[in-house]
Amino acid sequence: MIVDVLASVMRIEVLAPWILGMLLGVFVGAMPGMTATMATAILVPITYYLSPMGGLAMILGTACVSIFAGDIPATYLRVPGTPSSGVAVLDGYQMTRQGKASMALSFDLICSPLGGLVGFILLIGGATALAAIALRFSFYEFLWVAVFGLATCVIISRGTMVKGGIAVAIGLFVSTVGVDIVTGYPRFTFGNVNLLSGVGFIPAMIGLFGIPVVLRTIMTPKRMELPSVEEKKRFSIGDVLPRVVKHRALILRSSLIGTFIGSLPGAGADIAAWVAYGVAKRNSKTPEKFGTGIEEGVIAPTSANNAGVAGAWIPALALGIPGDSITAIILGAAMIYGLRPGPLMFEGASGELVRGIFAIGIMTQIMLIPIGFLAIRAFSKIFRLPNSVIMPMILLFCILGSYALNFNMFDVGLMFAFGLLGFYMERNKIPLPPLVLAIILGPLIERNLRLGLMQTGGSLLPFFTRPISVIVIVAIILFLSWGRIYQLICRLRGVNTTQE
Amino acid sequence: MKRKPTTLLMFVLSTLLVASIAVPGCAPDTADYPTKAITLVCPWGAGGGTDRVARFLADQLSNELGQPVAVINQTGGNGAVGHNAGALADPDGYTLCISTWELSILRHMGWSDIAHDNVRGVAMVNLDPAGLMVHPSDAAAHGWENAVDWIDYVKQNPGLEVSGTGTGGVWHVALLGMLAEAGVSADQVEWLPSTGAAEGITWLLGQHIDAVTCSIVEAGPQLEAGTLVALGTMSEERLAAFPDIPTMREVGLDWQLGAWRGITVPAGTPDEVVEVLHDAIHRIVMSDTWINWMEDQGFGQFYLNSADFDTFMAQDYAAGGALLEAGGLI
Repeated sequence: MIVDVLASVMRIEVLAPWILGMLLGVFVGAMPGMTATMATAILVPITYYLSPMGGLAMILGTACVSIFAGDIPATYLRVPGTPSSGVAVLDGYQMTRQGKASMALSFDLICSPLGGLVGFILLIGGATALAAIALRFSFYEFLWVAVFGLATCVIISRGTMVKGGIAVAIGLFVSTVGVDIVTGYPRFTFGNVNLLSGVGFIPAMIGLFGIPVVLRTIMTPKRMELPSVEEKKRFSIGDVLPRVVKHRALILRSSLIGTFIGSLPGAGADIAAWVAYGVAKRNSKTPEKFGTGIEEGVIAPTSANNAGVAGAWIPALALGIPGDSITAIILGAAMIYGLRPGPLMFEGASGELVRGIFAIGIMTQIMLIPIGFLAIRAFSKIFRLPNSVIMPMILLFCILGSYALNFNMFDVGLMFAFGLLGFYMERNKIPLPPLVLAIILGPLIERNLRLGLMQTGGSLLPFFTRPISVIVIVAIILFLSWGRIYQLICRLRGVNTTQE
Repeated sequence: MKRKPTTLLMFVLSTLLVASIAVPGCAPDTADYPTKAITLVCPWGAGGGTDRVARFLADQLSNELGQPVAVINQTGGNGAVGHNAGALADPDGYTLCISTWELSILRHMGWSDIAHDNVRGVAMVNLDPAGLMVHPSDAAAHGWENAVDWIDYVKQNPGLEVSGTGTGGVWHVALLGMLAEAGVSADQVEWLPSTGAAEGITWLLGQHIDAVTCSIVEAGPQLEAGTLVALGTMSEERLAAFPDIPTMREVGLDWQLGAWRGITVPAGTPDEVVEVLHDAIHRIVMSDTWINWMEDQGFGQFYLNSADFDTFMAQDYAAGGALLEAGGLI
């Protein structure tokens, strides 16, 4: 059967649009503000002229590759190419500053497809079971999942807890801007129509990370002639492979986290990447090195976000509910071809399409390696230019990226405002990641808390008594205090806790 | 040899430059409209239903008019950003907007000053009727077979939870209208605002809520799989794709509502321009290409000419305001 499925996708009318789509994915992912969703929407009319399998291959190829390619500008320029690459600006960019950009990107190149593979294998093996679990999540459980996400801020900003708290507070405040979901009343919009649906996340994120780089470089003019990225040693895939093997447990764990979070409707690859980063730091023996350009800090998020893309397919195929907007578009296209999500998905023509999606998903992960390799090569040439060229380029990327999203100059202004905020925060050593996380999670926390309270008529009890809620709460407590608990267990057993 | 591509590029670029200077030079003459590229503003995100209709229509429209028609997505504010951009553009026929039902409530909800009187309708092209969906196990347990059964149950057991979209959104008003028609006060059910129909459907599948109002098409996959059942459709007649779902009128409720989409231009656009656009769109919606595509995609086909569309928008605006007020939202 596997041979039949492979034969159905290894044909020129499938392969040609597939590879074209993957190349487009490189461009879309590496260009801040151009989202995979946008590319997928534009591709759909083209797929009407292709065979069903060719169309699906083209869209899936674009979507999978762009999530990886988003790490490229995040690592080189500190401007995330997609929302899911927000975490890559932490350790990935620090590696670049230490002249190890090719190492960071080689990790991305190997771990992205590994994460994607784990995600697709889980999708193939357990879509129905996982979707059934996801359905049991109601407002009460989602609140705690979001709180779990926010709890990673505590881990990320360890050592600067007060400043981390300030960043979270700013982020949560920013997330309250916009129409109140329950009453429909506009909050903090000052009559401006552009703020009705809240502060745009992508312009805010691009500005926060990108603009401070430019401002800092301008303030030390003597560095303008120097290349911004100095390559001390070129790392090839062969150099990093042994280290990838060493971190196999981390990759597997991050991919599982990514798949699970991706499979929850409403949470996506971006949240998955942050949580995986937090968990990796939590479990690390050297958590203080996170954020300074550590391997684990690159590996965890890049494995998780690709797994999250596969995870989004779980509710889509099992329930007919897309986990994110890309899946929504592909699902819409696939249903025209005869896909029937739900219990009947493996029957007849629908089964052929589902197996095709599985085959394409897995093959895309493998093909990602050569295509990603070419992409990294191409981009590394551009980024070895001197600062006097790179800095205007970052600025251009930031402006284009925030404008292209919505063709709206307001977003460009917003991007600059957040750029100044980011610059000011970094000068005062206030960490940026908690701010970004709070902007993502704020609405999720507010919505689920308020909807839950509406449902219970104001009682908080179900938030603490429902079985899954309790499991998530216990997970949060363990996550935050594992170090102490571990010490306690060791002491009880009479083992020396000091590690060699 | 190596220089050649650059020379060619320079040639192309300079030609384009000259051409771009030349275009504004021609005085806009409505007689031979259109003479340049047209922009179609879509107030909703790339890949959504409105975007898909907009992109297909733009493609067909550029064939009809002989000028490129580019779709740009200007999203935000429950459609307010895009509708503002469409209504406040120059009234020369070069900026169109694919308006949606939300145009009828933006001003009522205080999200924007824009309403139907800021635009002129060119043609309505689509209408997706709402439906009332419940979980099959609830339907079996309480013997719900149509909307009236459900409403009778609500009268006995107030406080059922319903979702389908955000507060004041189209499917919320669909529920409010149905309840008003049945003489049930809006506070007998609780509306849990969701980010869209998909989220509401997820909650219903997990039995976290009691019913969903959204378009029948949006719940299509679940209805076909039997994981949800529809108690009624808020359309004039039964739907061809779902002939088993009774209409509201069949069970004695005179209530219809659907999410509509149509092309509008800013108020003050000359009659000749509206006429050219309308005739082109009329030819498109009558074509087999359009009919087949809409059918494949599951979109409801519904056409109104410019004058009827204007009247329809005015009525929809008045009706929406009354229902929002009765529902205690404004």
